[in-house]
Amino acid sequence: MSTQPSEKSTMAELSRQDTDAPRPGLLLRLEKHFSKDKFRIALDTSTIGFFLFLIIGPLISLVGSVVLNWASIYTTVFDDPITGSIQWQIMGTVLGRSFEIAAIATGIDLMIGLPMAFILTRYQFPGKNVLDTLVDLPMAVPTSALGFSLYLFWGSSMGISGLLGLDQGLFSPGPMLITLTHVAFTYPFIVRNLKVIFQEQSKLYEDAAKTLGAPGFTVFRTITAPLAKEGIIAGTILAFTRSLGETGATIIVAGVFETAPMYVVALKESLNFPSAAFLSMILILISLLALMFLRVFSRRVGFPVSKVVPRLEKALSTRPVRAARNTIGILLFLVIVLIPAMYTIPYVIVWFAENPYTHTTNNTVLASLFAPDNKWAWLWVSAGNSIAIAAISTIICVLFGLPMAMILVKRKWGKMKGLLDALIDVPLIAPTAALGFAMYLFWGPFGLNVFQPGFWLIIMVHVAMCFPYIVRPIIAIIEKTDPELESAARTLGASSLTTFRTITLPKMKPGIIAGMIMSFTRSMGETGATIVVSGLIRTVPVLIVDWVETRDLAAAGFASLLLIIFSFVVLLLLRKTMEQSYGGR
Amino acid sequence: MVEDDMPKIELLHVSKTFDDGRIVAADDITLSIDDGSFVFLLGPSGCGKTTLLKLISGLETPTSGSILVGGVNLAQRNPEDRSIGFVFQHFEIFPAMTVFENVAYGMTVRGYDEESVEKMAREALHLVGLDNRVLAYPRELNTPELQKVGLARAIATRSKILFLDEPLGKLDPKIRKSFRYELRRLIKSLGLTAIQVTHDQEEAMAIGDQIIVMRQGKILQYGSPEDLYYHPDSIFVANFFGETNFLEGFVSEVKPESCIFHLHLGGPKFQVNLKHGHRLQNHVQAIIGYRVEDVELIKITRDDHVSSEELDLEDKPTLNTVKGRVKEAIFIGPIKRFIIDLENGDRIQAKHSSKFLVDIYEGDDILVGFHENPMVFEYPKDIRAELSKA
Repeated sequence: MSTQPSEKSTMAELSRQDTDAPRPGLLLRLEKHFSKDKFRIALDTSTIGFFLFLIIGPLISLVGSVVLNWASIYTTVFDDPITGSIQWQIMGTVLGRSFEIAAIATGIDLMIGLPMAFILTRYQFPGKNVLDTLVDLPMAVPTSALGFSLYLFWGSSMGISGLLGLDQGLFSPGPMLITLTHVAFTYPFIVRNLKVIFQEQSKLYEDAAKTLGAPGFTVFRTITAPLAKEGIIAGTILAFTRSLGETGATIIVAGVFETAPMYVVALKESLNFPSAAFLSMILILISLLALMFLRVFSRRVGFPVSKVVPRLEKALSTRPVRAARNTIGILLFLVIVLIPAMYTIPYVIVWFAENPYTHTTNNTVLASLFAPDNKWAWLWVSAGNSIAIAAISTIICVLFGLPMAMILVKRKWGKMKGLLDALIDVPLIAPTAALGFAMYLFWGPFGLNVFQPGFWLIIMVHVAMCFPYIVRPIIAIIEKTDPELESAARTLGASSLTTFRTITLPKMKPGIIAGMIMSFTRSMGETGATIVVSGLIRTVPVLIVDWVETRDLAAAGFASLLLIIFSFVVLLLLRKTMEQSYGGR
Repeated sequence: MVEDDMPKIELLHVSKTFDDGRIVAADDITLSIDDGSFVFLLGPSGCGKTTLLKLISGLETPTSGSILVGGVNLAQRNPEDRSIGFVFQHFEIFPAMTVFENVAYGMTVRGYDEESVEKMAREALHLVGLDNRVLAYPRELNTPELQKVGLARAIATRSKILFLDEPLGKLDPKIRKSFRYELRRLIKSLGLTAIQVTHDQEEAMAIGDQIIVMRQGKILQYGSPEDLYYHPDSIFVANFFGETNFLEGFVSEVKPESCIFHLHLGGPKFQVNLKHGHRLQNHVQAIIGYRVEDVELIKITRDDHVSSEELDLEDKPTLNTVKGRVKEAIFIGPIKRFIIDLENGDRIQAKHSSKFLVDIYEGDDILVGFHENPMVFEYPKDIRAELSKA
């Protein structure tokens, strides 16, 4: 800073002299006007109101209608004049099945996912990024397409059994197939969770343990695992509830075997609303309990740390054992998760124009699509529906999700905020079919009668499902931004809205884009709830379910492939956006 | 509205609490700041100085009390309606904008026309010496440059008040020292009223007109650097600036303008002058303080077995003396430091220019001379708290 003597007087003059008075343009004036407190309160109120209506309304109305109609429900479920308490027995059975499958699938996932998480966090090797992306792939595939793929691979004669020369699937539709399906789509959840936990772990603790002589496995059991237990438990509960609530893929691979969410769909379609409501309520209550448990108790549960058994653990830590562990981990991933999940791709390619067995056009993709019932047209109409619904839902989610994220981060409301925060996660955990049914009751002919099953009701449901996918990334980005930047803007005279537009919004862009991509993908793949509320409209995932039920496998395969390709592209886009926003540091 | 005249700043019984009253950041503060002065808010971490700065600048609202800037009550206006300049501790330069856009922001959002924006921004950048970095992005700049951008941005809007929150905190010590004078020069040449927060007492004394010392939400003392240094009101303030030796004892023969101070542990008696309006009474405990540079060291040779009272002190007739032994003598270039054990057991420090004490060494018996005008304090309830620097 050099100031010459002659400049001194000029500067003193300047600071007293008036430049032309500012004339703020329309935009600035509008922003200033709408920055007033009363508008902020209006925005807060409408955002919270919207959210309450969207999620809480249907849930409350579900419970409410169960309570109000208790007499009729009691009769239908427990004391029907003809069937007695058979509904209750069926419900008990399907619930039990769902629990069993969830437990087994989660258990298997933990076993085969753990080594994979370890490989991805503790080792460096060429192609690690590729493996990392492959692990995430089942998450990018819409559930019904995934279900179809798995059905093809394990359950039809055109999958693995074809290679083995059998003329029937290895597993016919039923519990085994369902379990395998759940293992496949829950796998990425578990691995991702474990990865985050292991990454956060300070390697220093492990190094310290090693210097004190503990072999690898002991280090894992006594140091790594206890520190990670909270995250492991959280991830397990999440995966468990996910499996519990899974509908779309399960419908495809279940055959006549029914799980709880599937039964809700069946009840609704047979117009047994009292029972459907009752079962939905039970399912939602279970998931809410799981959510609470997750938040409250995960810190307190202990991990069994038994005595060190030196010899055995040392043996388990040797090189060959480690190598075996790594290899088995990767192999299992490939055989149980990746290949079955992607099986549609080779299937469609092989069966595209020519039947590989009979060398005719029987049952080929082309023949199926262009048959007299015009599936081709249906496919494109449904694709149009899916995209329109996804786009509109995403936009609505952003409009209400942005202010919601701001509220959750910036307003100082104490306990209320905690409650709000927990409620946002409800659509992630509640079984989609149950949620869909609750919303059908609330909005449809038996409730407010605002929406009939169809386009707009589907949108309402999708908005509820996608809402957390938008809000969470935005919250994450806001929390990372320095709040003092906004103070700086305010001292320079920017109104709240101007500050938001010029400072906050540009910073949030990557989070918003990431959220929109996730929301769009989620909506494109939504099956369970959509089946309940779709009426005559079809989205692509629901179409796939239709075609599987009518044994039009080739067409279903093609539709699945389209969905899968679309989701991959979007996933790549997402990775690119994330890299851009975090790579520029 | 371009600028307001906001010369004088007044706070009346201002308090600020957080967390339902559990945290008191500002405790019934009343003060007034004159137009054109450069005032420092000084104190240990957590004393409330940054909160006070934010209250005056409008970034926080007081829980009670009123703040008037230029006669206008702040409660009636938002920061965005006023014209203030604020320099943040971590700069807060908008990362997605160029240096120019950052500096121009205050004018842009108020709707100045392009020409004025350009003119005002360029002036500010010239004043801080960043003419050649105008189109760069913040990530390309080093720390001193970022600090200048923050400063330029704050003064570009021509507001009359500048608030600074530890602006030099992130700079290297050497650069800090040269920058502080540049900062003062800039502020004075623009005729601004400036309020700066710092925990560095040297900085406050070097460039501040007035210093407000704060502790635990309260103002302890408010005055010029000399006032605070030579006439501290409390032991805490005395201890905060420079280095002080504190001697405990009790007083007797208390008169309006003097008393006799008896060093504790059987030490000698001092003649001590007192300020008008002191409230000491006979036989109460008290503490007197001497700056380390004010302590005289007088060499005595080994074969003078002289007691303190008998020593012939023609050239220093008004000096109180105590015998002592040099425990440590530390040479630090231009300064020599001494740690001395007095005959009554007290340990004190002295600091002098190396030139004048060439022949006093460790182990020497010396006479320590204390003048008759020390800082005098009533014995505090919690001596430890007073002596802590927090």
